[in-house]
Amino acid sequence: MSVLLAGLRVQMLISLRRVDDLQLLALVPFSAVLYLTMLAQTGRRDLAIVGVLASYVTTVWSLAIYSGGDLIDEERHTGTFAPLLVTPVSVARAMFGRVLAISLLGLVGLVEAGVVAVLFFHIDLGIDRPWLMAGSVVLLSVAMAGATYFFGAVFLLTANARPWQNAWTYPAFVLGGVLAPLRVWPIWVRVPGRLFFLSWVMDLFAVATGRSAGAVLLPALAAGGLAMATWVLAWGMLRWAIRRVQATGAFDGV
Amino acid sequence: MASDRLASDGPIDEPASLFATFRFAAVISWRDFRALYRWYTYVGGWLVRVLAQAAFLASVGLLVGSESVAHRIAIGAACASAATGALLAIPLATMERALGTAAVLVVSPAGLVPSMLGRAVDRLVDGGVMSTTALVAVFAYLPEVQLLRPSSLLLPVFAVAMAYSSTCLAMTLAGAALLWPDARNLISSTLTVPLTLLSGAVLPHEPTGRLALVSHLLPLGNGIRGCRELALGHAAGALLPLLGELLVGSAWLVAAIGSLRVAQSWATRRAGLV
Repeated sequence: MSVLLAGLRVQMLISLRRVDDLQLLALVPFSAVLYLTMLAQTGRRDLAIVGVLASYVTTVWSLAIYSGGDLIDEERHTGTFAPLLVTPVSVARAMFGRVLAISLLGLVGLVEAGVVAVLFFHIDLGIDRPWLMAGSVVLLSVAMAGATYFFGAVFLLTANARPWQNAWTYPAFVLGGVLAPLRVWPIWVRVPGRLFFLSWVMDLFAVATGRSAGAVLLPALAAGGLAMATWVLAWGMLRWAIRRVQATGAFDGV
Repeated sequence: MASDRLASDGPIDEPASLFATFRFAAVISWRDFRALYRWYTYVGGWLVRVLAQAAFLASVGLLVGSESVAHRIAIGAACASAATGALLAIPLATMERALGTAAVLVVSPAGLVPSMLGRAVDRLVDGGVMSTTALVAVFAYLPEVQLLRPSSLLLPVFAVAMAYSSTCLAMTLAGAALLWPDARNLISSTLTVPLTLLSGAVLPHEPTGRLALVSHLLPLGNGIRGCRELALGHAAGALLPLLGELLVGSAWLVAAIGSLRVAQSWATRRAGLV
């Protein structure tokens, strides 16, 4: 537990000083204005909550990609990666609190987007089932922490992953059905989209906000299962990559 | 010899020498671009992203159940891809500070302006390629638009024109980013939303009133109108917006030169950019 709390504390301190992390949070009001203006112009102010959630989800996903990707890179840059490998606590455990902190930071984005909708667009957000909404946010945060872990592992395994960071943003938003639900997309988007936890979490959000009368159990189980799979995959990748680094001594890149 | 033009004992203002510096910087920018990407990272990393970006923004139309809105936004978002690539000129300009060469450029005989503008040429190419790809994909996908007709040959011209105007806007703000490099990504990212909104790229309806005026003065605004004319098959109606886009781009180029001169003067007086 002390390792978890230390990781949480360290990452919060880093993120609150890191311009790139703060920048993602500073951009939330802008993206909220973008989505809310688009929806307001179509005359569908009743769908404003979609714009708010889209701002939140895109922010928390971007944090996972960029901050998660930088987790190992920064350790390498500051020369602390090699000492981290020989500490009594495993790197995977040491990173646990840090990825949770990044995911929790995304919650600030949800508040920001909500404030923009209420203050500047005078929109009643109308959440029908607040407890389901809260549960979905918690589920998304846990899943996103797994995704952050995953991107950290990818960056440890691949020295040249940075050009691919861009490719993981908008395609993920489409596959997750972040704006329009997956059912309105063509089949070749729907099938891969259903293998991504985000699409199920967006279904839960739709039920919580009264836009859908669908079931809760199936999306909740699917989202939880896929989030767990992301965690297991990321954990395995990270441990394997670290063993390789320890075996080869390639601290600057596997 | 061309390289002799670069040698000087004092500030140079001869157009041929300034152009030689610009050309040299453009070659460096192109080599940097090629070092940053392989063809597969470019296609997989960038082009997939811009296509997904256009689809994602257009999905607002699917959300509200209006195909016409989705199609309109898809064209606008494909045009806005030009700015996605071009606005990266802002963080890339600050690379000179990270490399420690910005101060040298400030005191060089040609000054900061031609080398900085030359370093942004790759953004023009990048933005042009991204927007052309996205526009061709959108035109091919939309059932009511016919891609295979002569007027579609104007798509790359529009894409480059929009990349040109967006790059010039980016270079106007690159001067500020050079002075405050920590804000480089913030400046470029925050600029994206107002630009895509105020230019009318992602608006479901044509801007009216003051917003229409603003959209004419910003990069993308005229180009988007032209591309929407092309989608309707009106090649003649697209020519005036093309001219407008180029004029707006040139106005922003003048602003960029002014902004970089201010940055140079500030850096010279305060020994900044070190």
